Amino acid sequence: MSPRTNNLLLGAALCAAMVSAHGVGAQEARLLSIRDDATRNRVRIFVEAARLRGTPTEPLVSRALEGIAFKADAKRIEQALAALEKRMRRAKELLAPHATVDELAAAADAIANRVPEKAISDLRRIAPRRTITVEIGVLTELVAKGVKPSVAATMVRDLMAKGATGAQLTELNAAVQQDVALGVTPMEALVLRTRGVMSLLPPAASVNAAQRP
Amino acid sequence: MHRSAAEIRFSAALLASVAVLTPPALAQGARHEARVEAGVARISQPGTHSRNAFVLSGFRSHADSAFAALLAGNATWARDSVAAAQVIGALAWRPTAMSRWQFEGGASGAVFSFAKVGSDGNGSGWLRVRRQLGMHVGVIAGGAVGHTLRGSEQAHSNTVDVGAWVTGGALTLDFSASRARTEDSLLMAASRIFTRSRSAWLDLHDVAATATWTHGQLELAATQRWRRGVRGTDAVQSATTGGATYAFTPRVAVVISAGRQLADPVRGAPDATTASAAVRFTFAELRDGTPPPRESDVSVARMTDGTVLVVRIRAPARARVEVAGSFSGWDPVPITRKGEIWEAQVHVPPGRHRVAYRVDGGPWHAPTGLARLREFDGEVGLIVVP
Repeated sequence: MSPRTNNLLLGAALCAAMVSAHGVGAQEARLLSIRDDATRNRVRIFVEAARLRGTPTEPLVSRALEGIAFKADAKRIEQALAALEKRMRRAKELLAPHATVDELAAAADAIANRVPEKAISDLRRIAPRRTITVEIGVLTELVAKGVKPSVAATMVRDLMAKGATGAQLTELNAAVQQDVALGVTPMEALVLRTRGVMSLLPPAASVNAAQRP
Repeated sequence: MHRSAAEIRFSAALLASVAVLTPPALAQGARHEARVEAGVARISQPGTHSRNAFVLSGFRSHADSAFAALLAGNATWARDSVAAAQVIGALAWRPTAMSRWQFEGGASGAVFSFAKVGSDGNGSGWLRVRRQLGMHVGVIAGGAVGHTLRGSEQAHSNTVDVGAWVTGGALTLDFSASRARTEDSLLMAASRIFTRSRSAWLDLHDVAATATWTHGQLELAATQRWRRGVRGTDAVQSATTGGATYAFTPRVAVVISAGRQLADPVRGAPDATTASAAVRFTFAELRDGTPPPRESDVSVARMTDGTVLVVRIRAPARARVEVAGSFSGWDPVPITRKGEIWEAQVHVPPGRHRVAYRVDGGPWHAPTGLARLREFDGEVGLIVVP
């Protein structure tokens, strides 16, 4: 290895360490907004342990702050964090080989809301090289609104396979919401709106198209 | 045995306050509603002095996205006169939940006197079709037939009608035009519609306009009707009715109404002027536990400087409303009042966000219209920003 290469690697390592330290510092600052010392310490210990286990900590900190906003006690927050970490670890397996923090958090929410695990791994298989946070989020929203999980999973998967973009899926989700407000059942609204989006997609669209960012 | 017009006046007038009930609006999920209304009324008819009466009615309905049904009953009693009762059943059906067509039908049966059940009464039925032309406008067409029995006297009547409705904000306007044919000369005479020929049938043209305005717990309604005889009579009549409903709570409301109602030959109800006040008790239950559908409180908007969540919350003018979410690290963001609602625009990065709002520092709620996620003994809304 040449001295020049060594210098580049050292520089990169230092930069990574600084960024990581900055992230930890920012999270620490956010944890300081927890006024109760005992609760803050328990959250801090949990988050630190999760970091050592290789779990992204940003979603955990966010969930802890949500618990504080909802006036949950330390034990309840700890339980929620443990459940979230477990789901994120499962999400990591489903989204393998690699997943962003946002994708993991979105998939963890999806699992918590009865989205079939196979549906999540199917989405990753269709788009292995781009982030699918929006797609997972839309799927979770549809299921949470009352669409049968298997139907929602099939619709979103088919739309992705035909090249639908995240923006199109979000628009579909908004249209479903509008229909529901007018009295249509979520299931019927999804089926109808999916046909509408399908008709806009190019017939030749393929899995390759779906993988475009 | 022939009976004079005066004899039938009051007994049939007791039914004047009963309108043809429309099946409940088709709804998201399955919705049940039960209602009881009790009150007093003062009723007068052409050529008679006014009478006091007690009115009791019940209403039971079921509605989902494609089918709705109701069953209603109504009884009226006056101390110095006879009692009357009416039962109404109605159905509404849409071929699919997204269909713009809606078909309605119903039937009603009435007795004009509890002492003469089977000899004094009316039976009627109707069919209607509604066509929604846009989000806020539609047309309607239909017809009804009725058969009235007073002792040995029998009379048939029928009507065809067309109409339209339009809604804008809190205001709804209904217009209708109808042609009624009747051979109920006793009812017509009691309602001051006199024949000018020996024809057994009279034809009447009606035009009506109804305005309904809702603001918070208050609903106001007014109807103006014009009538003109086109066959067998030269009668020209007009009538105005108005009413107000104020809901003190979602379950208890006061209903008052006053005005003149023209004779309804299909249902055997004569011309009458009424003033009434009643208390309404509503027992509503949502089988699936979801709240009634309403427009979403949160939407996503693209601005020149990025994407924003637009949050609109309905809350009292003097309240303090805040929104928070994963985008703000769950720090409450104050919302400012704009007109009738509270509105905030919050810049957010793409991704999925959990969001909630609270009023006056109370518990956090998931905004209406968003998917709801349960956590920490409460609910947050989930929104995805592309």
